[in-house]
Amino acid sequence: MATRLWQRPAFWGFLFITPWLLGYLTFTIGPMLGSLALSFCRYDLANLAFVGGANYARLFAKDALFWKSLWNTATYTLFAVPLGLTGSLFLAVLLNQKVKGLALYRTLYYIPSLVPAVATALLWNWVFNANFGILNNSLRSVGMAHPPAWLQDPNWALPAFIIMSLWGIGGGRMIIFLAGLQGIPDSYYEAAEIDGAGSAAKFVHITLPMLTPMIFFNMVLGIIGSFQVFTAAYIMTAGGPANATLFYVLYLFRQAFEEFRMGYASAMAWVLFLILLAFTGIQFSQAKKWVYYEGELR
Amino acid sequence: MKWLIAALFVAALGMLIWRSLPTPEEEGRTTIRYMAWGNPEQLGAEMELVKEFERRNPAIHVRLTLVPGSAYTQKLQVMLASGTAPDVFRCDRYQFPAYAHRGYFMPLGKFIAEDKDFRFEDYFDLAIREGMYNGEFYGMNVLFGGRVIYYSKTAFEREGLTDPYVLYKRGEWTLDQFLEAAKRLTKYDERGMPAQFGVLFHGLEAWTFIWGFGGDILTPDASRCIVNRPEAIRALRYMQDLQHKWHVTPTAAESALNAYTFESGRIAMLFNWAGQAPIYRTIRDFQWDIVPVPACPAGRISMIKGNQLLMYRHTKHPRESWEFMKFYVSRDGERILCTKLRRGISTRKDVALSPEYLQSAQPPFQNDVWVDQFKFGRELPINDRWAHWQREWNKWFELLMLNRVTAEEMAAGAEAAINEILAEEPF
Repeated sequence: MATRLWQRPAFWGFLFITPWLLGYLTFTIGPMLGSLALSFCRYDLANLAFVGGANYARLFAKDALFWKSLWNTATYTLFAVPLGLTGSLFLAVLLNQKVKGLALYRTLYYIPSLVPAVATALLWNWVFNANFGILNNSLRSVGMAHPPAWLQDPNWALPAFIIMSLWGIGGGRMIIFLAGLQGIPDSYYEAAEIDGAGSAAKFVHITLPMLTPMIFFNMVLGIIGSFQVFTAAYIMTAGGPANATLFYVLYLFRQAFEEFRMGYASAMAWVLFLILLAFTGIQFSQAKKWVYYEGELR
Repeated sequence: MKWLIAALFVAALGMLIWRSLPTPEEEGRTTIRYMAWGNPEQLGAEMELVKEFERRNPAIHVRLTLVPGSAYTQKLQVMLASGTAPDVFRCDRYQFPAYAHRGYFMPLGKFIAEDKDFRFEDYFDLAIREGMYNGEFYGMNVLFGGRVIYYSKTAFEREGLTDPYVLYKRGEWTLDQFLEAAKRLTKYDERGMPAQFGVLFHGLEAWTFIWGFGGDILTPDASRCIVNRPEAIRALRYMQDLQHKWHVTPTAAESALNAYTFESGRIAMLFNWAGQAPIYRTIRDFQWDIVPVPACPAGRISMIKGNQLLMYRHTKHPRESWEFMKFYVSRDGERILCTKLRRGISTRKDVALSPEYLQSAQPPFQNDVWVDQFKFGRELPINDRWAHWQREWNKWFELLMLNRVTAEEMAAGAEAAINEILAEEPF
């Protein structure tokens, strides 16, 4: 006998997710398709004209700022992601030790990640101030007579942002590493100790391999996140000096909401989407070579 | 508990009564929406203006929407694009041509032609010109102002320097005098740190100096960049020297986080718009006033820019909107904004030249300086491409002021890059 529609579990499943599904289609898939269509148009919010692939052609062939912003973002990612991963892992290892006041330390290191992005940007504006910032005052106190002007120097502005990215090492990434560390069975370490392994050997041969799923997860999200860096640059430097901190999304935002080139900005958004898709795809394809899942058969 | 229930009941009843009150429309009044931005003083004046208009026009209700300046442009743009724009709104001159190009505004010609109370002759030509786009008049000029120098009279007196206003009146306020004053007003503390800089200027001052040296950034029709010429290069070099040769103005690093502001007394002369005057009126530690920009080798030319008061093209209440716009720039309207608030230069000749406007009980006292802007002011050549090439200009100007390029390199680089942008079809 045929099962009635309402008797099928899938019916109830879809019914219950309908509100989310409608929202997803309306507010995510819909705008995405809309922006894909717009990327082939010239649209200034008043006039719409189909231009084919002209926006993409201009981006790649004529727009020096597109390449500049891509370069800035890639450079930032290249340094900020590994530094952030290493920093978070280092903190997680420290906070996984059995020491007195551990809960307090964990709280203290987590707090910075709770500070809103705007407040963080303003705070670091002061830290990097060339004349009276705490960083340059410290550098002067150790004998550096002329420390960098940081955010006002085209050569130092991007490194300043990379340094600033370390502010977030105690956040969600560290929590994931910490959870991973706590999930490693003590018996592994005990067995290694019996075999005469030291701390470094245990870390390299047990801790790191067991953490590879977390490293992989944090790396994928880290690269996606760092390619979308925006708030700090928007507030602290507005992309300057001389476009030294013009990140990709900041440039996209300007094209869309300051110069009202919605079609061009949509093309930029899709290029970014494809870049991230490619990066993520590469990472997933390579993951099999170095990510170890417990219980996985090879 | 019962008090809580009683309180909730009273609140609900209050809401019910409030909701049942007749709206302006139900009272037979036409409601128009007006949107603006500004500091608290400005918004206070706007409210006063709206109140006075409603008193005189009981059949019209103006719903004033105040938007923070930082979000105003985007909000207006989205409202215009989505067809929900207010009937009347203010728009910064920087955006006006780009929006006019997209056909968002109602031309005002037919209203003016039918209105005997409104006459172009009552206004300064320069102010009217800014409201034109492609030969059509769209925007009444409001919050009009020119670039002047705010200066600390106290600092000049302390240094034994002749007051620049006195020099100006004598015809001696020249670039040499300006530089001499800037040098003497730059002071260092015992640690060798700058305690006070002689002058602070914004990148916009490139126009003032380049015009003053006889050059220009764009051709008159704003179709080409012409900055790579000896006059403009001399002006750029002069600005660079102010910072890196004479050290009379802070570098970007020194002035970051508002380390040197006019209000703090750490800047003796500051180039700025008329709109800053209400803010500086809170200064209590020193006396200040205004003076025109100095006369440069090719003359004295200052930038002029206002905001436009505009009517939405698809307004349902064009007549009422026009009445409000007309009142805004009427003698009484401008008295509120310009004479009471002293926020900008009145665009009406009768107000700007009236003793009531020229004689002030609060600084600035030298109000003829505002009016003189009409003699030597020049409007910025802002058109619908302005935002497109500005970034390239700013980049090169930043490099110049960072001393990373020479004036010659900046002029050549900026001209080539801007001309490439201007030659390209909008995309």
